[in-house]
Amino acid sequence: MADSAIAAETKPWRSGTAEPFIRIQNISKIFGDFTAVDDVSLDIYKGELFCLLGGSGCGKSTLLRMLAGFETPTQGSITIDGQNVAGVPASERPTNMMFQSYALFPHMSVEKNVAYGLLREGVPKEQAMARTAEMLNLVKLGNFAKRKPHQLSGGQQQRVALARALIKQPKLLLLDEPLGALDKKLREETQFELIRIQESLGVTFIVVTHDQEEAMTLSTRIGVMNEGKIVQVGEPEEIYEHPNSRFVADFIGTVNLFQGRVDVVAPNEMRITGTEAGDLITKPIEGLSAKQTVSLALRPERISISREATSAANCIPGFVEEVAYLGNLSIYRVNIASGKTIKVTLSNLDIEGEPITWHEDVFLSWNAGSGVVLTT
Amino acid sequence: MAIRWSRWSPQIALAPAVIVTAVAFIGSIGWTIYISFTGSRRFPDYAIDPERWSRQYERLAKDRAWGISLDNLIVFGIGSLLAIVFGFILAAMIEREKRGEDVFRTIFLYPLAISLIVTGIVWRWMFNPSLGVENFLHQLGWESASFDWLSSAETAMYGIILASLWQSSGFFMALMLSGLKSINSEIWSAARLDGVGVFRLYIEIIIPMMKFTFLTCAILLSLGVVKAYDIIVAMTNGGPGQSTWMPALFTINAYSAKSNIAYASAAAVMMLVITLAIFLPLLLLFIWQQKRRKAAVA
Repeated sequence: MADSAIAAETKPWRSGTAEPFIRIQNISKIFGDFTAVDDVSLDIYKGELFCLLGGSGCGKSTLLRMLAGFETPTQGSITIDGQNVAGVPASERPTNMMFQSYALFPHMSVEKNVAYGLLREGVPKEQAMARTAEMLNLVKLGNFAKRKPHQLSGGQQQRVALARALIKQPKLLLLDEPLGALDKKLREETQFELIRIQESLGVTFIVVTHDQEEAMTLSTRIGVMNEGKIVQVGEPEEIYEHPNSRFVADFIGTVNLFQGRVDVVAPNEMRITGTEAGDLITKPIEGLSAKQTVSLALRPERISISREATSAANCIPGFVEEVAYLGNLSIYRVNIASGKTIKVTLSNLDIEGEPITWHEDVFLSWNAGSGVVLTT
Repeated sequence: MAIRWSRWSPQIALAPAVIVTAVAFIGSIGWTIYISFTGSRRFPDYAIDPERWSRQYERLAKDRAWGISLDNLIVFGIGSLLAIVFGFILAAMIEREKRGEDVFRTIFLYPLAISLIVTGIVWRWMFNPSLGVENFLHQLGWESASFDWLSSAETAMYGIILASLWQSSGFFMALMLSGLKSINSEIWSAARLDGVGVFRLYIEIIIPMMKFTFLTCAILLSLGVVKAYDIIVAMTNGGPGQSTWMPALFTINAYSAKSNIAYASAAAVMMLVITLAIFLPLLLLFIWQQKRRKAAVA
């Protein structure tokens, strides 16, 4: 059904020459003296599953509503497939939306709910019902056509909402916290279902979420938002391994942050002094001046923990305060001399001999290239 | 001993209320039904003549005034349904209006604070050709204006309906408003995306979702209609002639003017039958809707 190769595989944003499907240019939305969205620009490519990720109040839902046509931007323009959508009402845009609460009409059957939009467009009843049946089969609800929404589980209601949103064959589908109301197991299953449906139909999805695990699983690219601005855009791996700021580093996954001043910079390494862990050796980055304040972001899985000191570039002593056993991995909270707590995760398969446990004196080690140096 | 007391104390605490209800409410209903089969006149006469047990009801069936009362009940009932319609329209308009909701809601609810007697009297003045609206329009220059509904047997009932609508629409508006607010805001957005026109939106989506609220309003309205008394007395006292008689007025009249307790009791029993005939089906529908609602939420 998809007319071109799947965006997740071709990654058009890397080429630099591909034409973006959706251009958001300098969009702002101001309510009185409160700026909800502050000069946001984004290019999104056809067939992407793009996630807007951020905490509450960061402006992601407002941005979504502007894309849908429920809010008018105070400034800026939005272009979808070459068409500037300024002034175009929501029902006439090539977009559709799946709501957080599903917004199913409770007095209508599943079939009627899904077909409603088509019938309002003037599609003849027979044709509308045939397309409805097809769509229900796609979301695996073929046998539930005659049921009412209150007779379905949360996950099934969500699939009806998805079918209803997709049946009008929108070019862009907007999803507002689609997995928020589901329990963990169902969320995992639904994540892959969403990807499957998106790839088979070739529709561009923009998902708004505050759940970074969801964003990391679903998306081709993530746009992290904070206080109305886009802070970083990139593939999940890039956002995780190379955050561009303390905010992004802290928001995605867990991170240990050290702050210090640039001391010595050599071609292959750099020393940062004055951190809570003393002097640290890391890989240098460009554009630094002497004594500049920088942060080092270190992911817990990059630190190894041992009873004896190692010869790694960085090795500091610590005291295990807490161990959380999570089945597949263990999370250690280690206190170091300055009082700071460092989080270390270790896969339980990698443990040899006696596992390290509470109140042990240990050494934390990592290489120069394990952390990321941040200037903001 | 202490444990035994606490086991029964809820029942003991409720006992006075239950006894009062049993005596005053159920007991008096039973008494009224009994008396309606007797020949009591000014004072209760507890003897029932087995061959003439239904004489009060036969007399009722032949009484023209009772026939008029029942007709007026139907007319008043249908006319009062407009209170629900107006209530809904006002509520929908207020709900769409972002600002000024509190102001409008207060304004429309004010009439409810006025007793039916006062409402009746004020509207009687308004219908008075030399004091009220008609006089006002004549003074403005509209000489042929006529707003004298209460003086004609054909239109008097409509005057009463108008006054009653003025008084009660605000109440139904308040109920409808809370019903409207309980609708998830995303439903409105979803309908907007489907490009549904305003009229269709309300008829096909919003009103069906508010079945529960409409049912509540219908039950409350029907109770008010059957009981209508004060507004009739204040506005027309049953006139002109007997054209605005209603069952409650008939019953009181049978007792106070005709001093016939048995006849009045028969009329009262018929009112009870009418109330149950309207109320019970609505109540059952209400309970059924509530069960469906609970099933949906669970």
